[in-house]
Amino acid sequence: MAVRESDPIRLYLDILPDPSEVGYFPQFPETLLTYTHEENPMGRRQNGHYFPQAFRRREAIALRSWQGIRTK
Amino acid sequence: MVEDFSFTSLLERGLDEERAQMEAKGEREEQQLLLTVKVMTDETFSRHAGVDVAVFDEKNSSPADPPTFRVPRHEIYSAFKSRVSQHFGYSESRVRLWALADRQNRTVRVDTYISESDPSLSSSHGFHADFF
Repeated sequence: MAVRESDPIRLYLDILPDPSEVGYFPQFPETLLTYTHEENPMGRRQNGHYFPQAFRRREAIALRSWQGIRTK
Repeated sequence: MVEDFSFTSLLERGLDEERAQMEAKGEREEQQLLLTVKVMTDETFSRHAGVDVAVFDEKNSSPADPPTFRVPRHEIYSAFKSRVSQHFGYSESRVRLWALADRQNRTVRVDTYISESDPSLSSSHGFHADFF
């Protein structure tokens, strides 16, 4: 889809953790992923796989956002 | 008396039209000088209940709307980032901005972070040049 000059520029504000506390520099927007995980406690299926129990639409979008991210 | 009223009325109407034209011209000029930037946050996302990560349509007003910034076209990225950091109450060192992109399936997703080491973000380029 072509971007018109009149379209607003859309950005996501990523708040980085304090590197001195976490000991690394995150490559991905971790707050978005953390949000997803906090809202979705992992459950275990009969086949032994872990999967989010309450996989609501919003969290699904967050997770898909994460998975599709490209870094430079 | 009627003629005076008519003249006054015409004069007022003419002035109103001229004022409206000047305002419209001013808005057009302002739009050419300023860019609209919408910044989605975790907070707006947590309030958002629809499809995609946020609604960027100005016609709908809700607490889930991303805050809007009007940015001078030639403002450099570091100045803009400083302003955004101040607005949200974070130090600049903890803020990283990602561009959102339209995917082929017409969804909008977080795509690529704006690298500050990118030479194209130097002050010789305007903000606009960096994003289009």
